[in-house]
Amino acid sequence: MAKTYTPIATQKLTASAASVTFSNINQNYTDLRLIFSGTSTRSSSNDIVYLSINGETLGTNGRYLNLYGTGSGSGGTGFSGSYNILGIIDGATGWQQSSGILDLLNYSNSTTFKPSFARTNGSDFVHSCMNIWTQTTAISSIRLWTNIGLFSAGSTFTLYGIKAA
Amino acid sequence: MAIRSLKSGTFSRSGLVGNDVIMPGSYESIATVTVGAGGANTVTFSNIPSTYTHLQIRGIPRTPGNATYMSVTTSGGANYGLKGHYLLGNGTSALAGVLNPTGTKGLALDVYVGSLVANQFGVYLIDILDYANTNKYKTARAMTGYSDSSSSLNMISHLYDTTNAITSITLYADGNYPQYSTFALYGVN
Repeated sequence: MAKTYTPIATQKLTASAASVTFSNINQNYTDLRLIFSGTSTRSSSNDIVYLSINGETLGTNGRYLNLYGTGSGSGGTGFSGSYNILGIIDGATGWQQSSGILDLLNYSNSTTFKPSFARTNGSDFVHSCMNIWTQTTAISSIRLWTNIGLFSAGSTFTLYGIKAA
Repeated sequence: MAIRSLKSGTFSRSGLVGNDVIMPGSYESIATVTVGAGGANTVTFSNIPSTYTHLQIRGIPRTPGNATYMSVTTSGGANYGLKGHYLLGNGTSALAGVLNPTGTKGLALDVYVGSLVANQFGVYLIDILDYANTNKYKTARAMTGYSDSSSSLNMISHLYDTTNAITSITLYADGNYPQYSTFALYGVN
């Protein structure tokens, strides 16, 4: 059997940054997986991380459906008709750190719209999100950016490629 | 994300709750099915080697208006599941419930799929844990969904009441999985 799950690139922030971009993504894999660890600099509140594909601006060709829990009640769900997200991450308060996984499936084909599934967790929430990028173009770059704060220094982003037999 | 001990050099569990550690080199592609013109009612991965710890199915299904299911086969025969649970969000409500097997189709992988626009596909991320262990019943977890205003995102667990190793997995779609639906099976150590 063919071994796979190959690191493509890693970025560790030495200073806070408004966004992180992986460009010129190798097209030889079937799926991409992005692993995130870090926080936003937004104080005393959580932040949203948006996902832009192939250099598009927010709200161009995306949709998402999410499901989350905050430790009370029955959880929440929402829908947006215009953009993709990685999810919710912690703001910069004390020891809090968020983790996240984003799976982009069949990113390199030129036949289907591109679905992705993301989940993040933090000190007071779990969040999952189903995205669709409504273009058939292969994905060659992804950009993550925060809604209000910046990605904190020390945040890490690693992109893996997964190739089906 | 794995955590590496500076003292021993060994890797320990992920920092993300609910995710197993997957390190490069411990993840292998076993088989892939891409549905051709005309569609397919079922997709089966058979003769699965017993040499891995876990299995993972990654796929892009498309089944507008229809539910999908999963069953397994062991040396003891087909197993359509004993019970499952789901948590779903549909954009309006977060709902939870119990899944019972639907005849020989098995246990549901998605609870509700509404209308979809052309070219839109969803996601299957399915982990079948300890599938070859002969001392325990088998569990699977699935994250599935379609992103649309009339679809759902599902967090699902399945229990298959067999201690035999799983040798085959069948995905079943009411209606058909249409052309370009793709499913890949991986082994994880």
